[in-house]
Amino acid sequence: MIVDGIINGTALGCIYALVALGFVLVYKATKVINFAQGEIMMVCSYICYAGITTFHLNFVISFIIAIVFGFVLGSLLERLFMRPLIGYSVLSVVIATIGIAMVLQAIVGLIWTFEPQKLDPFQVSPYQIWAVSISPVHLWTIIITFTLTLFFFLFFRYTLIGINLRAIAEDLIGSMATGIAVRKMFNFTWGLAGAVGAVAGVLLAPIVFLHPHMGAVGLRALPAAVLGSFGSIPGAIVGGLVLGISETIAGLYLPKEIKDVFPWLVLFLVLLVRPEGIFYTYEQKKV
Amino acid sequence: MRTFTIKLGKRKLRFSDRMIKEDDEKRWWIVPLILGVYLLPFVLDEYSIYLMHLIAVAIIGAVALDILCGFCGQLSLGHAAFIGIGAYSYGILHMTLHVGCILSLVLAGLMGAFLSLLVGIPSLRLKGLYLAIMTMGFVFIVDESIRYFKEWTNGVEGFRVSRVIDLGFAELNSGEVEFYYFIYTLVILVVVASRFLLNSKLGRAFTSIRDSDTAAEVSGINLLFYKVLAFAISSFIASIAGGLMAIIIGTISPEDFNIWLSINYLIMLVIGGMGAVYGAVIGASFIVFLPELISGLRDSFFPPGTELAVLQYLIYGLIILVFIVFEPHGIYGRWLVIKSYFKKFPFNEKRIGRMAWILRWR
Repeated sequence: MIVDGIINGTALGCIYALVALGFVLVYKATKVINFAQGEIMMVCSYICYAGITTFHLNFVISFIIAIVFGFVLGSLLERLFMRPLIGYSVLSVVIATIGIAMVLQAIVGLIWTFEPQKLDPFQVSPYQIWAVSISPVHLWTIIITFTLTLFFFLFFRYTLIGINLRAIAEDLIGSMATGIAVRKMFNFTWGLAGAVGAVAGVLLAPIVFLHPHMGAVGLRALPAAVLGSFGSIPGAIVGGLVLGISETIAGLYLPKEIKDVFPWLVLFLVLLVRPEGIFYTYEQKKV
Repeated sequence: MRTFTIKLGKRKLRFSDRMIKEDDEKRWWIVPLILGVYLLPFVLDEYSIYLMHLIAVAIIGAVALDILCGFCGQLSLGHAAFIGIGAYSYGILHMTLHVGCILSLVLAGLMGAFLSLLVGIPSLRLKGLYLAIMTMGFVFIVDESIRYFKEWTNGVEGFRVSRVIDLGFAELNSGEVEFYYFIYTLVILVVVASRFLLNSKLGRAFTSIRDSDTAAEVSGINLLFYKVLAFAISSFIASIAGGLMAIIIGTISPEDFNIWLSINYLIMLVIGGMGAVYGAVIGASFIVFLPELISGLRDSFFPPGTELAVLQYLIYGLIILVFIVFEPHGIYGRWLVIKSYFKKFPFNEKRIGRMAWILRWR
């Protein structure tokens, strides 16, 4: 039972980690929490669903279409709504992302109605590995998450764009002065976050039903991002895994009400002890 | 008093900041405004009076949030939790324990102020968005605890609260004109009190914490005391708003106090203009009135059969987006810009620049 709990928890944690990754990518570059991340996720999984049911495409192809769509959607949102707000208070920008979230929910509701839909492309029978049975969704979630983590590690380490993004996160004005195209990079980051959101959405869809309010899971992933000190990519992955596993195991022993708020309780305790999260590098503050 | 000098060619213009000072604002319009508020029920129908009740609760709640976010700069998404605590405390005190109305309203406020210590003390260590996320967690925790303590709160089935408030000399039924006068007297009290708060020593301390808490601490402001106080004052008022909300809507359930309520209050602040009491008032009235406007629009602009909920989401989201992209400082911020344009009329910065540019050639 504990082993099953750990495996299910790892899968759940991987999804938290993917959503948190979207938050972290945007926060790292632009210092904004994108409350529409959950909704971008939801829209992309609907696109994948439409690819399979309406256009009768292969799952892999519609998955790729969803990812591309996520990239385009993310960069489009940045261009339309975030760029005019550069330099205004963080709160205004955050409220703008909440507005985006509402509009996306409404558009999906208009197209696909508020009825829950089913998107389950993976085969049903669980794999047997030694004595442990693991469902294909969970296995693929874990594999894809770790591949993506590796990809981002290499991307930020070795590619020019990744290095530029790191420079922007370090010092915005300085990177502007050295001639990095900061706006293009912001745009690219939002696109990247959208694409990650698409992956998370399609992987999440088999676990919860497709529904316009599905993006609420995005809020549950926020503790994961905070645990790993917003702005750190390995932090987001570790935070997501810690929360997923602890939540699933807590669900085995504690009443449902406590299980539902478990991430927040963990967050409460961790922030009291270590307000900067686990993976924090200290910064100087000017007064 | 500071004086500015501006060189226009060979001439020098001197003027002091008293010419553009905020404190010299004219207050003559307050009397007709209050009179207007009190005379409004004579021209409204029953439903509009009910709507005005909701606007009043929203104004009290928004001003409370403004004290915390706008004055003291502590970004809080936990407002719904305090409104919920207020509503349920009032309900339990009045309905289950049979405490008097006014006393239980005040006790509900104190309950909210006491529980705000849970968030207020960690706020010493958490800044900005971290605090926002932790207070958001507080909303979820309060929500689930309301569901968990079923024998007190009746869980998801909803808790019935009497819609009558007994003032000792009169019994007021919510939804009626007498209750309207009662609640708007409270609104005016809260608005006036928070205006005084903003201009008192306390308010100055709050604003200096908002601008930079490190600098405030260095100049001798006790951060722990003032931050906890800001949380306590804000949630005291918010909990009273929650109690009034319970009286007005009659049946309260945990879903009424979810995270969207907090977000709604933040939206009111941002749309109205943060850090200004009048901004909170304007924003609250606007946001509560918006769904009515949308359902009015639906009949004239959209094909019949469009789902109202979807439409409300769409238009609500679009209006928020448009407002923020074009007016990030809110309605009150724009009003101040317009006002100061007329106030220092010949001396606007643009105009001075243009004149200097012209006079250069002389």
